[in-house]
Amino acid sequence: MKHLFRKYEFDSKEQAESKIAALPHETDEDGNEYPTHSHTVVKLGFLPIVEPTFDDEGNVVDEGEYSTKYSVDVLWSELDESPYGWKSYEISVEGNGVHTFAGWSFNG
Amino acid sequence: MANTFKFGNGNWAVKEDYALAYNDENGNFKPLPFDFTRASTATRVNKDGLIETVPSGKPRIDFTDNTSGHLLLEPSRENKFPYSNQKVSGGLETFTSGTASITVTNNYATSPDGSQNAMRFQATCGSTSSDQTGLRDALSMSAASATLSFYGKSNTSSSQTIAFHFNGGTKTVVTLTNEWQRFTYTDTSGTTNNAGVEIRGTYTDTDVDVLLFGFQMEQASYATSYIPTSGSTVTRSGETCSGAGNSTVFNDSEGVLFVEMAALDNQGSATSTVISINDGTSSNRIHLFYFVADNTIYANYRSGGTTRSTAEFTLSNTANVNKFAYKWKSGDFALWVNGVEVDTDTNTTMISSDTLDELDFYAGGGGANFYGKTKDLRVYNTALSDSELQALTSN
Repeated sequence: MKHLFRKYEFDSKEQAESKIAALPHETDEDGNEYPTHSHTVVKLGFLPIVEPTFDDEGNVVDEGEYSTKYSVDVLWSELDESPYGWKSYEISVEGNGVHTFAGWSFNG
Repeated sequence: MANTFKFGNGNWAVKEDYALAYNDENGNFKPLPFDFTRASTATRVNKDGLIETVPSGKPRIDFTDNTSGHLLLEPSRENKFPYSNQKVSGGLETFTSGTASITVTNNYATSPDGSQNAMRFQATCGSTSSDQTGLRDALSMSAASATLSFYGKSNTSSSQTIAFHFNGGTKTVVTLTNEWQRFTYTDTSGTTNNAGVEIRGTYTDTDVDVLLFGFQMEQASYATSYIPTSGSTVTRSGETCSGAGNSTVFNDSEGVLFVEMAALDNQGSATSTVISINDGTSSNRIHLFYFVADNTIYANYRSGGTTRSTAEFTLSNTANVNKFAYKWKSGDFALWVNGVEVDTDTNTTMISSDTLDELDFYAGGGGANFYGKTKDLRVYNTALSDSELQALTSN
């Protein structure tokens, strides 16, 4: 099976979740939604730019600083490129960035 | 009786995108393969008891705690530790408080994967509750259920105690022996979770020399198989296994579905996890499924879009391996668990002939993926007698 690893930064969490919710899915007879695609979608969220710091007891000393962009990694199945509506949010990073999929190198 | 569909029971054959079920009635072997998907690599415990990586797309026959193996199907999970197996700046780092000292040596001893990559954790602390030292990383999490796990072993001839460090605090104390064991701790995480292990006066031993391996933090209520990381967090993709069999091996009007299996969790998520014989839709199907939130095994028989018969039984622990058999026949439905008939029904509305044509590790038509450990799965094309069902499901 063919796969494609792409990284995205969205303007907000809501925007990311609406894109994810628009991926193919169905509803079973109990009313539960389930995906009918086999893509692996990982919500990384607002990534730290400056890491928080802690004291010896684990209490936060400095909250750090977080990106205003909402990050998502996707391992697409049976696609050659990002689906409609995702392409303009693609990003590139050095190495794997903060996250990868098991056995995959983002720039490999 | 004719056992027309067999899978597992120590006889495993897997390759990329494929797991083999079969029919060997009268000595004639007919393959009945499942289609299998997983987009990433994953790990399993092999026959030698060592953790090893399995390529993407290849099913995992896992030998954790048994020698005959089980098909392991797991959901997608991310290990939040960017370095799962070493002390490193920006990853697992030491901390101390009060009177304490610590030395961590990477790649010191042979680990559960057979490589020399286990950490040595040597630490001492004073005897008060403010004397503390350990190894931890500040992980970005959601404020929800999370499970921390690691492998540990004593590096001396004696057992030793250390504690989980979770949300920056001292949690459950565990005893490390001379055998590698995996330890897990589940709790509600903060949005930043200082997590790892520690010793602390008044809680644990205050002078320890132990080996550690494979730290894993998952945003979920139970631990799954080890996901190695080295420089970034890593996600293992979810798995599906489906599409085995055909209408000649499944008898719509009578038969038995037998499974020896365990769920991944006990009293956890409120999600059904289903094994199904069906016609590719949700209209005609035979289901055997866990609903883990209330520790119950359910079976049902559905024809023409209407559920005609149901059976259920509450288990002591869904994560234990149990033997289940669901019998369907007009006027004679029954669920057997570990040698005991636990529920019956007298439905007489049956699925039309030659309708059921596939067996899936998800609900008929899709959804409710089965996640668990399957040791043995069989389908019989006749309704077995009570004595046969008792013998089949007894331990």
